[in-house]
Amino acid sequence: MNRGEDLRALFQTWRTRIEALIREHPLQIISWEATRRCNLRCLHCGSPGEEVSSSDELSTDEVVGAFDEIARDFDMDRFRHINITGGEPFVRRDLLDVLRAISHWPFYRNIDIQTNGVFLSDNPGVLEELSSLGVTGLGISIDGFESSHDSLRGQPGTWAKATDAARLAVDAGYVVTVSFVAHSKNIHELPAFHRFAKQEIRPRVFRVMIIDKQGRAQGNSDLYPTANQVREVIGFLRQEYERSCSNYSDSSVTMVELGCGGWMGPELEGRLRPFVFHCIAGLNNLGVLFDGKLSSCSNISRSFVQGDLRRERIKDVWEGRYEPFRRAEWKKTGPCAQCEEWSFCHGGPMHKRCLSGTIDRCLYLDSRVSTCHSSAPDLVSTRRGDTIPFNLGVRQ
Amino acid sequence: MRIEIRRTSQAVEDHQACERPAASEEEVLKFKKRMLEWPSPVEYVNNMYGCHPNDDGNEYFKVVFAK
Repeated sequence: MNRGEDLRALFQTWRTRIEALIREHPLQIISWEATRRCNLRCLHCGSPGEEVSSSDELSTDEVVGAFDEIARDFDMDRFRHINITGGEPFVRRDLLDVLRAISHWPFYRNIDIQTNGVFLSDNPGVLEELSSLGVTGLGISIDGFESSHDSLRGQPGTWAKATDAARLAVDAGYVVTVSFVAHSKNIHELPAFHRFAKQEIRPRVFRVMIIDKQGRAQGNSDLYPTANQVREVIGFLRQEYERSCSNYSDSSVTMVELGCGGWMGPELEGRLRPFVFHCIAGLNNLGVLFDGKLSSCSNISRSFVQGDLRRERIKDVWEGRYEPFRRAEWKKTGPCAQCEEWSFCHGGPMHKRCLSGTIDRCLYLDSRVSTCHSSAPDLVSTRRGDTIPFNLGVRQ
Repeated sequence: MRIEIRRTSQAVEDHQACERPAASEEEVLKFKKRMLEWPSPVEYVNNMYGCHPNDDGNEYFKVVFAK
């Protein structure tokens, strides 16, 4: 068997294992959207834009009760970690109280928090306690150099705090991910900022995500990159990944990766990040939203909410619903309908979908388009609120 | 104590001086194959925390849970 056939066979085997994961859907990750509140108002924020009331936020007891219920009801042998997102998680004053209350469960001791870094920079002493409570990773958003970063947030000083927090976290021994959201106005500084981050912050992971048309970013279309800019980012990642891939077991090396942008095809998969992508939302990733609604990652539209932990047992919802996450056929519309990559991709990331099945933007297709676009191509329109042909079991 | 961030241009110059060479095509394919052979097809959840599976088999979680 030659090398090409060998790889094709491996992709086929990989696909059968993905299909098994979909069937079995073992709970491995809890994504807890701790709050929708935030101390910043970033123009590119991908947090869903639907109107919500922060007064609906789960209480300390409700959050702890949910984690306890999961610990009792689910088979936790295959459980991996908790990912805490927001809003800004540290805006919750009881965040450490929650972590203290659940830290006796051995499987809840691999926790990652996604933060803007402001609180950690102002309160560096908390890093020691977080570690003792099972927090192992910190994801810190830094979107380029100071002027780029601060202008997106409309607040001077936030870049200094974010970089400060990231360095303090690295020094404290956390696995730090610097997350860079690439948009039309900062892509030009990606290579230089990446070098700066490697040299001055030394995070374990430098993650690049391409801005999505969701959340507050929906109202800032001037930030959407052109197809050429997307290919520029892909080219950068490919070069930098190849520079670091053979050293990824060395924890001092900063790895680059493309975040949840979607399947990139058998040629590019394995060349942009140290994993082969498939969206895991609802497959092994349970989302607990700020108000107790059950979904998956917090940037997925609330149209896909599957249940409510205030009224239902989480295990019942996980086992009995989640059809839109696990049955992909409804997503086979628009550019996906005839796509040759469908059987590997299954429609890509759920956060790019709306209920009608249409996709916001496909990076795989963008990376293959050879013509030059003067602006970001709208592959399909996004019409949230359309219906799809089966019962979602939505409990709004 | 706050850490002083060095001048950007200086950091970039310093780093360029010690930039790693790109891996060979052979190495890239070797790692690509290994990703496809991981026991869990979405084992990249590890990667989200920089806990990349290594040649000894993905022992990270055993270590974490043993604490």
